[in-house]
Amino acid sequence: MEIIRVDMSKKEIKTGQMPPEYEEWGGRGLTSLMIHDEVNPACDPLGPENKLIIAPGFLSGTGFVNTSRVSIGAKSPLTGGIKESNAGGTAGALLGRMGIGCMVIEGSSKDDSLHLLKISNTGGCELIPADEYKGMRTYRLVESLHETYGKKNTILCIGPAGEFQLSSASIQATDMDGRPCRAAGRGGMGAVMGSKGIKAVIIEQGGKSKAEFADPEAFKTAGKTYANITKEHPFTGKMLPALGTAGLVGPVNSLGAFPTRNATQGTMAGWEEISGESLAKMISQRKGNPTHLGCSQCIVRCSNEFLDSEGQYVTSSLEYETIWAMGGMTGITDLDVIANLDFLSDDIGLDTMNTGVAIGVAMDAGQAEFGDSQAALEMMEEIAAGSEWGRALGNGPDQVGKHLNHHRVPTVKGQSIAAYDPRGMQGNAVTYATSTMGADHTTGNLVGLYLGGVLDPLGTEGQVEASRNAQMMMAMVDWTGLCLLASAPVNTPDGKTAFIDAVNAKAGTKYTFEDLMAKSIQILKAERAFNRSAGLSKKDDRLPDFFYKEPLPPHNKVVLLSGEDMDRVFDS
Amino acid sequence: MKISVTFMGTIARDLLGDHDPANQVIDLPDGATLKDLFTYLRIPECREYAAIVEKKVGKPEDPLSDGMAVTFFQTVYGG
Repeated sequence: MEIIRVDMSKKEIKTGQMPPEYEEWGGRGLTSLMIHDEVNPACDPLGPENKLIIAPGFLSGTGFVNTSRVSIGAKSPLTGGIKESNAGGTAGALLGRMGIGCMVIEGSSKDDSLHLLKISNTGGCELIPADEYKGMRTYRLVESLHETYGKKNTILCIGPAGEFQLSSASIQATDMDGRPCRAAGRGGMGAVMGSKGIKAVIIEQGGKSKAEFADPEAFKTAGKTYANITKEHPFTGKMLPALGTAGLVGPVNSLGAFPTRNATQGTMAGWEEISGESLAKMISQRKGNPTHLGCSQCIVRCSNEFLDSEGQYVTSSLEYETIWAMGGMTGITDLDVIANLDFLSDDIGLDTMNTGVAIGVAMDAGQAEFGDSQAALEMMEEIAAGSEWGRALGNGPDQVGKHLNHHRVPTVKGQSIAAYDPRGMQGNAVTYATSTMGADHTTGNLVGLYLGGVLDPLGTEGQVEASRNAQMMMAMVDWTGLCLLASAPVNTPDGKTAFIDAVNAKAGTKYTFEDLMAKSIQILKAERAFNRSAGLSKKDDRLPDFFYKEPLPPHNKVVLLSGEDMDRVFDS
Repeated sequence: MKISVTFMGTIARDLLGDHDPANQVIDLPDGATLKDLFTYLRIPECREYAAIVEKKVGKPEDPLSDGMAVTFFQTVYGG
């Protein structure tokens, strides 16, 4: 595999072979280990010492289904710790096919000039001055870059939020239709890219290196088995293709764990209007596509294309977490408004979750009434305009809370919680508190255990162990490049075997599941070591006080797990 | 006793041959449990299907009572 190093201080690019110690890694494994090894934990996240690392998963670019995730890592300006955020679209598969193990962007421009980083399909790399794109939003940017450099190229880019170096700034990735609607949203990776002076990375289509498999036949067999299980599984083969991730609105709301109106309620009046069932119906009625192919190698098709009442494209893909953040947390029950807020997030280059929660906090603090669609839309434009208030909003809920002196701010390590209230799902409280990434559902979501009746969401028993296991499992999924949503089959005996067989067939190893878990622990240990050296301590592995003091209706529970419980996750 | 049943996700379409998921009222004998309801509806009793009663995931042995509302979901693993 190849490694590309881009020094933005010197405007130099060097390419070479991946060092042997990283050869068996990809995705989050690679980004986190390299950040641990190469980045000064005390550095300014927006300074030249930080490094932005872009890595396809270990299986990305192979024929294994749903492995087109690209991991983007750096020290986070939002959490102050290590961060990996991954995106779908086409970048992961393309980089993997080209034999590129990772790109490391370091240093920073001495002025405020912008550049494009172009990776050609023959492996050549160049930096291209890009000041003409300053301030440009992502949809217009991508249209312009496609016109200039070729319509089929994959693009990773930032919008105005990234240029302002806001802590909620995302890196947007183009989907199968060339739209910048997929995102590495969490942790301000767009701000780090902005601090490096990179407006976009253009990856030319058509590049292909000789695929390296230790056992091609075994890989093919494992891949076929996993694909068949994925197609037959009730979640990946039935529910997601029909409703997308929005299908979670009903179950989570019905459990009383849907954080509503800045997490003051666990169920939302009018939830049916924003449910997956309503979304799919609305999209179909408007002749949009509820079963859209958004990412390379995807056989699940949980993506959708949302059209307005005139049949014009608004956004893709409208996802559960966005519907919650922009709808549940703000009290907005109009899918057309939520779709517009999603489009604006993608276009300005913002994490929909951190931004929606920031708006919810602002509403809770009295800046607008809950449910005020116009106010929410205006707040988005404030962020794009770069006003003082807009910058507070764009830096996330913590900044909004400080700005308005408001206490109810649902974050951990500065990052907003996701669409599962920790008082209604006690194990997710553990994951939010102890994840190396801040409050992040993708690092260890237990919703499947609760709905499957395996664990009581309102009790304390087994939550710490379940969160620990889930965090190890997700670290494994994240380094292989497998989409989180297509990882449910790994929970089945045959799916787990096929997944392990595929890793072994590619790497030429004989790993057991326990061996893969050991690799996950290696990742988690590196991330925690980095965070400790960066100044994060046990006191940062805690939830905000209000989760312990304000019972959440309808169950009227607070978080029941103590600080000592949280510490048991990684101390054992 | 009469139990009000709602099917979410694609359960009705996939398992019940009903393309328009809707509320149904099921008549069950007194003393019936959630397990009896699963059996009556021919929904597999496994981790992949959940029945939520009064904001909680029901257990097979949970007794049903007249007028109770049960909502069936597919188990979801995150979004």
